[in-house]
Amino acid sequence: MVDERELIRRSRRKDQQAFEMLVGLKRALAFRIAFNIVGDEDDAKDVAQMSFIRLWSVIDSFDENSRFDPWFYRIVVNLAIDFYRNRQRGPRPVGSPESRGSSDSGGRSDHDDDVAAALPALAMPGADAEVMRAELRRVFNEIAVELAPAQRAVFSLKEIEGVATDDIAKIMGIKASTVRNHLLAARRVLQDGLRRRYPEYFRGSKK
Amino acid sequence: MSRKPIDLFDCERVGSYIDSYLLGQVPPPERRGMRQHIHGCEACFQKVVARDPLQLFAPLADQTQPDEFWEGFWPAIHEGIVRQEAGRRPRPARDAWRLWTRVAAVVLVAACVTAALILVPRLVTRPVAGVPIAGVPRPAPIAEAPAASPMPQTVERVLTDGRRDVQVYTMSYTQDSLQSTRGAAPVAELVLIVDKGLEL
Repeated sequence: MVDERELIRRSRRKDQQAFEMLVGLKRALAFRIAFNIVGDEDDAKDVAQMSFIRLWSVIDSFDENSRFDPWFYRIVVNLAIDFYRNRQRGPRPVGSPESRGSSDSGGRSDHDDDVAAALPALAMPGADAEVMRAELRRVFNEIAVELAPAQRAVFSLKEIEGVATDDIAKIMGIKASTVRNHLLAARRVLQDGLRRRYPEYFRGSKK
Repeated sequence: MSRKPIDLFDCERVGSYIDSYLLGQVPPPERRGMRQHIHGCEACFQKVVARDPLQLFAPLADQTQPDEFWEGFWPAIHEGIVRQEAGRRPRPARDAWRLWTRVAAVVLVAACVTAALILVPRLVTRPVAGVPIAGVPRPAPIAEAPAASPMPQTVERVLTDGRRDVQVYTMSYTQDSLQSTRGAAPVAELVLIVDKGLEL
């Protein structure tokens, strides 16, 4: 078993072999965080790679007495938010209202109806996990396109990755109260989007 | 022989902690355990989503990519690192070129100034000294132009404010100096001011 701390220590001394192993350990995490924010697989991969290149140049400033993951999150999140902001039209996942054009009636297409009908089954753990997640990803990207980059980042870190509010505040360089505000706003937007597009998930739920 | 791990978070226990879980009040280790159970148990997952529909997206945290997805991932990073390091390295040849360019420019300017200082006094025909620097008068009109001389008339004056002197060379080009025609008025004047106190 590779010791993460040892890899970090060696990477700080510019040991590329150790750094490659560290990349292997953290790449899934970096990609997932980036994916939740930028909403496109290829873009997320690019952001993850940029994050590691950036990490290489700043890893010698990492304090080994602190936790590595939140410190690394910060690099990924900042790059992902920058990427998201710089992309003029925001994420355009397959099946998003933007990518479908304006011919859809009321923002919903036949494909949406199919997905909406299929979602209750897909969302069940018994369904094929990867297919389910791919569909959830598509739905998330579709409704999260309405979020501001910071709101999207906060929601992803808090509700998907389960990162504590204080840690998110440190990662994003904002106050914990601002994190909560972003989270509330993001939840409101996402709930509205989900209710509008997939009302079946609101049966019996508190509004 | 492998054993199925004991599910410490059974449906009953998870059910009693769902509200705390949704409020983020369950500590991380227990939260991970609860999440594993919820994502693997249809009944509990439906309960959680019924309370908070946005929990629908929680399983995205478990997303993994196939091995093929990572092909080329490290080589691209490595290439980026190499490019980044190359960009940071000093460029001695280029720096040296820049230095020599500056030296050459200074030498050229110095040569021009020296040439002017040597050549201009030779052209002086009538030095005038001691004119105060305040109230600089226009150069006096040239009374007599040398006959058939193609050279311009040059007047040197030394202007002073008591602390330093400035040499003013005024070269008046007439039709004489240009075309060897006598009696014509000046058509152009070149004024060269040499400040002896100027540090180059």
